[in-house]
Amino acid sequence: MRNWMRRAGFPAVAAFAVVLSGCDLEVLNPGAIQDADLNTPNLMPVLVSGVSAEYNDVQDNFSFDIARLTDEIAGTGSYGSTQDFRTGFYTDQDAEGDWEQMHEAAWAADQAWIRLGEVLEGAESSSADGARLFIYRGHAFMRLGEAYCNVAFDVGPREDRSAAFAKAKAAFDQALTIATAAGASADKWRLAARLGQAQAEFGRAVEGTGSWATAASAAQAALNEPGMTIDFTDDAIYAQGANTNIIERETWGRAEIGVYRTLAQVMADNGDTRTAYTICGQWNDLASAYPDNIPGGVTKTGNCDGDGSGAHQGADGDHAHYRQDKYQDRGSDIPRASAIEMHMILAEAALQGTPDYATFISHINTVRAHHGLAAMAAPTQLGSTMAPAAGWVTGYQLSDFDDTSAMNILDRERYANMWLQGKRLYDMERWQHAFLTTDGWITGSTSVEERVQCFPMPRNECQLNPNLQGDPVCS
Amino acid sequence: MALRTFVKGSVKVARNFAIALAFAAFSAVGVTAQNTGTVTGLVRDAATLAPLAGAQVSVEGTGVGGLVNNVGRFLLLNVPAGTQTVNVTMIGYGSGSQTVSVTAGGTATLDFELREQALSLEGVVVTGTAGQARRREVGNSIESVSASDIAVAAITDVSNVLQGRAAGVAIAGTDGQVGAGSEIRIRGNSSISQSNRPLIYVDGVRMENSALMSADEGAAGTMAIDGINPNDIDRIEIVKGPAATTLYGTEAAGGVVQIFTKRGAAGAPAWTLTMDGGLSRMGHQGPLVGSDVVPMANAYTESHPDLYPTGDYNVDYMLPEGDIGNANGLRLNDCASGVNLSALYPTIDSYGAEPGCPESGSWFRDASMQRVNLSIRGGGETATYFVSGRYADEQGVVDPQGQDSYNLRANVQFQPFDGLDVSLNNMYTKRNISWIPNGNNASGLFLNVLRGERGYTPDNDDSLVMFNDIFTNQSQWVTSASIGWSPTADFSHRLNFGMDYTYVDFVDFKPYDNYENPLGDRENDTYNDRNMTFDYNGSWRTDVMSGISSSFSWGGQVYEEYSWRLNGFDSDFAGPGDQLLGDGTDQDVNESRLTVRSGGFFLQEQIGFGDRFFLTGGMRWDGFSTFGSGFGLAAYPKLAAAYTISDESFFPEGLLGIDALKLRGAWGKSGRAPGAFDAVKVYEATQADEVVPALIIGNLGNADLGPEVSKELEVGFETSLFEGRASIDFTYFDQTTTDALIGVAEAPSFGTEEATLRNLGETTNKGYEAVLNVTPLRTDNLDWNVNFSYSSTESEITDLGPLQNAGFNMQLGFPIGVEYDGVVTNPTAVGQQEETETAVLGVNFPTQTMAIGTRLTLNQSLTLDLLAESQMGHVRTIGIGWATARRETWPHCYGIQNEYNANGRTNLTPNQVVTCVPGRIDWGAWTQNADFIKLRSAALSYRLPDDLVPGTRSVSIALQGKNLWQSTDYQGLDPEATDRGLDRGEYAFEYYNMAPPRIFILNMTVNF
Repeated sequence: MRNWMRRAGFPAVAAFAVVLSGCDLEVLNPGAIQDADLNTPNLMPVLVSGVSAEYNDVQDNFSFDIARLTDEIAGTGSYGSTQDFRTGFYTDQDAEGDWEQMHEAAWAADQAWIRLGEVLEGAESSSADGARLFIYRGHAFMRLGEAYCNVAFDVGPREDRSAAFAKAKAAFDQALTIATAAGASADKWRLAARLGQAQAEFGRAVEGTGSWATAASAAQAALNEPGMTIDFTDDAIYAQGANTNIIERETWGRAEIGVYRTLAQVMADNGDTRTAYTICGQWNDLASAYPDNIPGGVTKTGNCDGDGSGAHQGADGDHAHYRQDKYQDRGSDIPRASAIEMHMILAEAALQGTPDYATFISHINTVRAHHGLAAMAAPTQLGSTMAPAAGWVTGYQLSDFDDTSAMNILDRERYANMWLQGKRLYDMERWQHAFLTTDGWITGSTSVEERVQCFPMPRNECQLNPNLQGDPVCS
Repeated sequence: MALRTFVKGSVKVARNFAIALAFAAFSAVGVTAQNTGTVTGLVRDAATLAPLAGAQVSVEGTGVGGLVNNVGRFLLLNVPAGTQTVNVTMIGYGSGSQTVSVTAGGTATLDFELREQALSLEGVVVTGTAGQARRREVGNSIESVSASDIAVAAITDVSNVLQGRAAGVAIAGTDGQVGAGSEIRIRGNSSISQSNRPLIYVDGVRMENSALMSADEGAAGTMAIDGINPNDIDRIEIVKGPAATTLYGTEAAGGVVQIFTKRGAAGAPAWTLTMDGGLSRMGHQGPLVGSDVVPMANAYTESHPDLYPTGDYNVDYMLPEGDIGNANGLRLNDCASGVNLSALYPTIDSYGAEPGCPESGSWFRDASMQRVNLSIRGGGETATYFVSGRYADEQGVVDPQGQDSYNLRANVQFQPFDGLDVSLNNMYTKRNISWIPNGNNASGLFLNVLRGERGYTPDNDDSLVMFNDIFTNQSQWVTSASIGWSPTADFSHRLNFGMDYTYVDFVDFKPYDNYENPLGDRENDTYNDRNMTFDYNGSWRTDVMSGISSSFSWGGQVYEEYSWRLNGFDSDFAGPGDQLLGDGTDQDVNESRLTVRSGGFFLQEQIGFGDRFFLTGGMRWDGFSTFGSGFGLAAYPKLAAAYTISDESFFPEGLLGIDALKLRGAWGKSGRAPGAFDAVKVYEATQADEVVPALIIGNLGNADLGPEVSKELEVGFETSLFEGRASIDFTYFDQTTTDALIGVAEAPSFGTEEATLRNLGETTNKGYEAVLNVTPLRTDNLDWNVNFSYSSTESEITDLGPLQNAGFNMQLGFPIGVEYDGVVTNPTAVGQQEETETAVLGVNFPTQTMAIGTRLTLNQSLTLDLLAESQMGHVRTIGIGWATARRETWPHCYGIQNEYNANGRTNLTPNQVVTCVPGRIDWGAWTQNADFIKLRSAALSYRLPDDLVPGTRSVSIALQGKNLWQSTDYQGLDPEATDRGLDRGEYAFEYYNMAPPRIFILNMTVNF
């Protein structure tokens, strides 16, 4: 027996080695899709929808960030970002997320376009999918231009933000060409391309690389486009169970932000439905506790149901919750561009050079009428929304709501029409708009000397982009 | 082997096994012979009189010998008549020797009592070695915890066994709820992006070492290791770093913990019944008086004395002496009565009784515990068995939190013929855990109670949060087979294979008509995890020449983990009823299936010189399914030396009282593998627009991706002094991890934000471990032993490629896992606006551990056993204070807030403002040193006089306590209460988590 075992020992080792060497350690895990498996025509719409998802994924967060950085909304939550943003404190690290995702949306559109070319072999140039890709790409560039002080593309050097608007314009131009070639199947994207073109020209006009006349012309062309109606919007789309609207979540579920003591509240209190809100909780001893210390707590009004804090009280425990009602469910879409915005461009263009107040107010009132609001009288003076002192430190009070100068009307109308769409920061910056400093409610702090007016170059771009090494924007 | 041969062999083996079992109840029957007699007796532990099953007994010069059976008895037959010398040896114990007079046909009785030896160079270990090795041959540090170390200690789960009992091993609790798992670290952290947990083996089978399920609403998760019945543990071996774990290959860089469960022993069935009854009680929460509120400090404040001209770098909380309005503890302790604060703090709101307060007046209860464990051990010469079962019903300190658990184990060993041994080990565990909603979520009990009226519950009725029905049902099955085959004494093989399978059913249910979501919602997470191990090693020992031995080893391992998970969510139910997934109107489901597979070979050669000096060299090669396609095999070398210098003739006898001195050193490598998809470019399916299918880039992949490689040098010594009265074990280690896996994105303007994992980082980690064991007193009636251990780790991120940080808690030039947050740079400037910057405030994981234990045994029956453990050198952010102070419901801040409410910041420093003033409170201001020392276990055990209880072999009663006392300056609820886990040395903070309660246990153990 023992001899047998001794003889069998080495074969056993050898057998084991054979077993091991025959093992295939490779694993093909399910769930992930290999790159090479995508080259079939029927997957192209799915791939393009993925680009839409990429863009939508950032649009709501972008709007949420800008709302917290501007006078669109009050911070009532406990996120560190909310507290920082309310004071105008926004770092190069805060700037990373939106930058990364906007670039990725543009890049994903580019990658998908290349694949469409490989798979559709020319048909992509007359496909609705092709047009969609350039819409997403154009809007990604638009948001970069609107929010960031400087831009960089393709790991290149720093560029003026007007470069983003130029790239957006090129993308929208191509979208229009493709959508037109695609015919009726791409009607929606043809209209969207027109809106995008006007947005891009608007940005170029503001930055001085285009002209207001061109912007107005593009906006009018959009309004004249067959099929365009005043309520047409090109939306970032959200859904109940998929990519949900974060602003809805942070106001209807959790009370991270609220409307209390914002221009939105004042306008809504004056009957403007564009900034509708609901009072979910009331302070018990507001008068004695004002401004930033509410020992008496909050009483639920019963007007709001919802998870957690959204029912009545700010997530910071310090604020009653005044809930925005613009986005009322998780699937509420956020407009990227709209016909109404075209009227705003046309109204603003009318104020350039020698102001044409009649044209100005006609566009304002066209929109107001659409919302069932009373017409406004034509202004008689241009006015200004600028802070009386340098920067955004002082000046703007809610009482300015009554100002009837053209710029103040434009200020309020753009505010209301594009509320919570991520557009307000650019308006406030380009107008050097005074910022609310009402005892800390809106700013959250009296320390606003360094309030950010546009997003800085993100830190990771500075670190990873060799063309930005030593650049002053990265110091 | 032909099938017929295999079947015949199997039948024979089974028959032998059955026969052995059938006759296991009967002891060997003595056979007398002419001129020979019989020697019988007991071999027991000198301190406790516990039987020493497995001890070897031999009659000198006769070839007669045998093993001590499961009740400590031996029986030697055919002992030549006359005066004989009988020797007894047992690993871990000193030897015994007595003479006895044997008469022809007679039976002589001889009892032995052996004492434990702190340093046993002949002891055999298997972890980190190829096959098995004597300690004198091993060049690296090995910690071992035996059943006797924990026999009388207060233990509630396996993680407790390791707590304070092995130098360099730190156990971080995560939550005080019953069933919540703990984080295990050996020598701290060395990886930035991968798991720093050690590998865990049970009877040779790899066990899941990650958190099985994190119950978000409950803020706690379970760990597989805690599914093992602590009563089943025979010993635990721990090897600590790459120098020792090379043969385990990829993924072993964090060390290896190997648990060996009890085996059978020859003899009649020996039963052990253990019954525990106990209670858990939560102590007073928060400061009792003003002087309890001590200033907070952290690594930053301590390193910047220039910022504090007065020399006091801390916050004056402006609290009165004596009563501060928290005499009855935070509202968790006392919710039936309010506190009128106006006399102490005119501007701070008083608060009243909570509407939902339990009748007892406290959210805490005295929670009961009942555990019953029954085991049987026995067998014959060819087959032995150990079978056990346990039931435990453990309540948590907040109703209805608690756990029911059932453990079953059946270990069978048989040796059908010389040279072949087979072990079959089976474990089944069922745990049903009910969680309370807690931690960082709006449904959390602690959060809503401590925030008072600023919580989220309607009308401040916090009992409503209990509508959340959160539970985990977990089943574990670990089965293994071990076949050892030694054709000759020098040539051996061992094959281990087995499976660790875990099934977790987690439910978080908010029923219809709850206040948060009136239509209700339900989440069900079903998780299955299967770990398969197939492991073989062989060795061949031979004497090359006189005084020089060789031991050549080889082997390999195949390992596969397959996990699949189904997560479903549904909400908006039509009404009361079953309310299962599918009954609502908003459903979401996610499925994942993941397989990771690895295979490796090793070769090792050990040369021994004179049984004193051993030089070992080895190499392991690994393939891994997660490596990039262009990477190939990973290779891990090792080199070790062990030198028992005290055996040398030149070593002065009695030098400094040294009995034995072993010097050792080891160098080796091990690794950590990337994740399943890290190396490949993939797309992920998602939903876009109005829920249409969409594909997005999931990962760009990296075909060259390989493991990060940790190398370690460790040196040390082990010595026994003063005839075994003292021992010292010292180790210094120095680890460097290269090719560290770092997620690096292209510059975002390239177009994708997806970070690609690359092998480009470097970390270092070094420290030392010292263990001192002393027996100050040893008489026939008194045995007093004292243990002391200390360990330190000091890690640093030395290279991050192009990055300065890899997440905010991984900063270049600092330890792995730090708190990096805002600090005030003008902390003492009264009345001024705060100026801030961002800085590293400290390390998240303890960098020093210390334990001191003592055991005093009187008359071999009364034993007092104490173990205190300290964890030091780390910080924790008191998120619970940060968030509660903002709502003016945190007593520490009443003084500052009262001053601010009255006079603004005029009389306050920026430090006070950022600590306590709502709207200006800074997270970094709440980051504090979290050093603590706790009395982990205190036990008083008494073994009743023999024969007092008829029909028993022994009966003992013990009173045990856990966490009865602690000392800390930490100002949160508890320095061990942590939100979520610490898998990668990540962000650790306390956020409305439960502290570990005090536990009292009355134990009775009956052997019969």
